[in-house]
Amino acid sequence: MAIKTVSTKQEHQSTHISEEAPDFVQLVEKIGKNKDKEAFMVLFDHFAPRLKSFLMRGKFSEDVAEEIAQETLLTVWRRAKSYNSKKANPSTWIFTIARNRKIDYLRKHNKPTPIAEDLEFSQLIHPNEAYIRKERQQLFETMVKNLPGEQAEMLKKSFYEDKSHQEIADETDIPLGTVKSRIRMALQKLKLELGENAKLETL
Amino acid sequence: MSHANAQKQNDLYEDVLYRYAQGHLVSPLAVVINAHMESHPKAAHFVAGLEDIGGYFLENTEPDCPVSDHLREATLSKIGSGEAVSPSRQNKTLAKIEGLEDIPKALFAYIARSHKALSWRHLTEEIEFMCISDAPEGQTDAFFLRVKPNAVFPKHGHSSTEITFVLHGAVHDQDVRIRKGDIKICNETDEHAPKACPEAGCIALCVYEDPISMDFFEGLFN
Repeated sequence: MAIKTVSTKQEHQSTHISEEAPDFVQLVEKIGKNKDKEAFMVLFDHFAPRLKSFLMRGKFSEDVAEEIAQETLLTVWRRAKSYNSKKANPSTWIFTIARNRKIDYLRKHNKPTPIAEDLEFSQLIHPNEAYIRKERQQLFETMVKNLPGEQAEMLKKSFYEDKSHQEIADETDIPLGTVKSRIRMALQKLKLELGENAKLETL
Repeated sequence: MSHANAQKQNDLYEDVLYRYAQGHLVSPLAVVINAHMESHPKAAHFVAGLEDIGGYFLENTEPDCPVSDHLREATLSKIGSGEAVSPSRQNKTLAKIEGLEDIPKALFAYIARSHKALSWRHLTEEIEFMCISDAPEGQTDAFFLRVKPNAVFPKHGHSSTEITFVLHGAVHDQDVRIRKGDIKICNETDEHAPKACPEAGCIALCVYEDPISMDFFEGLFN
């Protein structure tokens, strides 16, 4: 049975986790087209531990982190058909699903009157088709790798450890203004700037 | 707008988009940012880029720990059993609001999920109000305003972040014009008395990081 083959694969993967990464676009497309379980489990083996670690860094307990990691990957399974590689890298797509699941979880547990659960922000996030990530993915990764360590660290704390600017400042003992300016410099290097467009028309 | 004000508005705007990408905005604010991005590709690009950063670290950071064996088996059995099929999509019906021709897609589910019958209520001759908030009784964190041309909203301060999202017409506020699709952010240090533009008046959605009390809100009109 296919399941057995997959189990062996997990053992292999868990010990050689940093070996060459599988082609995630292809895996998601296989899941979307053929409900390919084997492809799904390869994706699971790569992302489930990473999602769990990401969520635990964001202060979720181990149980909750596993629950959200699982829900995230089940969403990938369900939505793979609508995945568009032109709009998002698989890892970005998975990141946004996990982030939204996290919001759902917090809403369910902190707020007495949650809004509709099927309101998934990720479905609507990128209305602009012109943003072709695939083409710039490699360039982008190179740019992130080449950021000065202190700037990359700020971004990692923001988006992987889920910390606010203030929390980063408190934790690192770096003034808030410096945290912000390092992040701004990093974003400039990654060509992520709002520029003039941020401005409202002056009367 | 003075240079300092413009700089502050830009900083608030960038900050709110950043927090959106992190998942740090409460839902009414996040929904409004989503709606804003539909007509502001530059904002959508910025957020998409930040999400790429999130995806990059997620993919490339070695995990701190493995998942339990049980999780793997349980997930496999869920996809095998069909338990993980798509839930039926609710809220497909078009959201409708009297007086509005088109509503951003991002607002459909948010409006449609409201259990309340949506109808406008006059606060004054010129200003109407429609609450769509889930906040506890006596409070609100999301409502629409329909304001006649040139009518001015009473001057007020803020106890948390407020985002005004314009859906029709325009709002003139602190020397800027907030047009359809634009957002204007106010925080604790802002006091303002926004005014509907002379041509078309406005319909706007106002959302709050912390719910405000209806007594405070209605008190503005007495």
